[in-house]
Amino acid sequence: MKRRLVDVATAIRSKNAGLFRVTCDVMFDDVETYRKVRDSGAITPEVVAELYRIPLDHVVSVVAHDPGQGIKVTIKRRVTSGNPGDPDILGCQQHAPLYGIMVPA
Amino acid sequence: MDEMRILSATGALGATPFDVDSFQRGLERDPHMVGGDAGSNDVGPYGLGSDTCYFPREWVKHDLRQLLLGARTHGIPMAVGTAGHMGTDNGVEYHAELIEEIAREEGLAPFRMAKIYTELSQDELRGKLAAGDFETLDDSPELTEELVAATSHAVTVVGVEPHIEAYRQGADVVIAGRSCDDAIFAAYPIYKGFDKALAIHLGKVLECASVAGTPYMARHTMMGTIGEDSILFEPMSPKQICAPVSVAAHSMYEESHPHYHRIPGGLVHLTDCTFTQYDPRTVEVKGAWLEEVPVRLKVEGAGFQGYRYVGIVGVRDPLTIEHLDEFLAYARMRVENNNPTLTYGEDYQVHVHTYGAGAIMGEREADRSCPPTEIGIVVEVMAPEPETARMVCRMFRKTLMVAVYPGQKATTGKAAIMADEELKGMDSYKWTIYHTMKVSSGLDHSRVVVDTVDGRSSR
Repeated sequence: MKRRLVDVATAIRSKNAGLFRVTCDVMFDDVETYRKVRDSGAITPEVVAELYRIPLDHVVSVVAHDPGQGIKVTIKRRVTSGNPGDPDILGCQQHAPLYGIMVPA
Repeated sequence: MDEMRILSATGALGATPFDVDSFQRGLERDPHMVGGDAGSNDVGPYGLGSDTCYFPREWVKHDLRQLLLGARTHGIPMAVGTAGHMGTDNGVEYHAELIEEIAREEGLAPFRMAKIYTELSQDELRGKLAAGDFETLDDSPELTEELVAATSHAVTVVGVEPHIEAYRQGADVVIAGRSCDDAIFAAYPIYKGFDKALAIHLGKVLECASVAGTPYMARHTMMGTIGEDSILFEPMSPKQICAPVSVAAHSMYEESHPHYHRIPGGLVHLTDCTFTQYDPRTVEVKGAWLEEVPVRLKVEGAGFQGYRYVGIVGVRDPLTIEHLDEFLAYARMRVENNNPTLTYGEDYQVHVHTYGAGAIMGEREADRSCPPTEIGIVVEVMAPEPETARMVCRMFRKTLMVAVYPGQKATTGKAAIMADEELKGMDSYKWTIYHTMKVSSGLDHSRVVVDTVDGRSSR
């Protein structure tokens, strides 16, 4: 059975990592759920590139962090943080496309 | 000293007044030091470029007063980093003057205040550029003479070294310019002989105070304790606890990679860290280690971009929403046709934020199957002359109101306005420098000045 990531993760958030990158943290309270999602291969650079409609080399990294029971997805920003025209200066609303990723439940 | 307790009052000093109750609860635990991070590059280049602290003075003073009174009552050091939120020399002076003012109001006995200045002058920037000392950082472009010339203000982001120097010179209160967030809290334990990697990890978690606790809360106090081989975190609000996941999550907050944390002259490895529940409210962390690398300091610079006007309109008509792209293209065309002597994008910039129709994600947004019921359009215009910005903003916005498209039904106005006059925005700035700079030590390009503040002397 599969469920949406938003329904199994404890927290999904995004934030600036410097001026040129946005980093999304997908975190789990439950270690079993974390491991299942981590090992499922559901969150990969290719999946992220497709979700955000960006070239693969705009996905900086997708890394699992066992101590934090989290998966970190870092992508290049569309506009440098806070420069004229940037609609999301903190980068805190860039995580939403991840919600719909289907993961094993 | 076996352990040192450090109180981080708030994650953003002066941004909103911090919670006094949880800070007082922290003081009751006899901390060895209190501190607060006042700044960030996170909220854009305006503060640095314009050299202004735009937080309400009353709030900044509130937070500084709490910290200062707590520190002086307990006879412990207090540290603030990135003073004024932008960390320029003016930011340092602003906080230092507030400290003096509070000391007089409270009649505080004499104490030593260190001011750490980290601003770089145009001459210094040009000299370092000519010497080839700058390197790009992440995706920043090569630094050029043009970018340096376009810089209104630039700061070095210092690590623990000048903070430690301030303590060496006997500082009771440290007001620092642009500083690494972790350095504000890590410098004192390092000065007192605690492990550097652990101290940096402690500072990294403490910099946002209660954000490392759960449930999520901002502007509340967090206690960090450093011992010989571990660090402990406990939130001071009774409504929060620290859980291994909340602390581990904050270890990777705002980092590109969860396993490393970069500091001037080092890379802190977090891969081997363990996070365990020490007691029901406290988490114990072990395992950070430091790899030393040649010291480079980060430099941030921002420059004036233009005067700014803003227009806001709303669209409810579904036919107009259907034709939104044409509608916006028409407005742009009309602005260009009416200002033939001005070049779009050069003599003025127009940024159209279509809230409800992809403003936040832009082309990264997935296909929207159902059209929005209403759309808010913010027309943001920047130009070197304020009158140009105002005129272009008005032309663009008024054109949206009278746009024409095939099959239109509404003939009175295509957009709802909440003000007919243009709204004057703050001046617009852009980042010009985000690079690392070669230095011979972490003390280069900062100045530490220590003076006595006597709240009882009449001045």
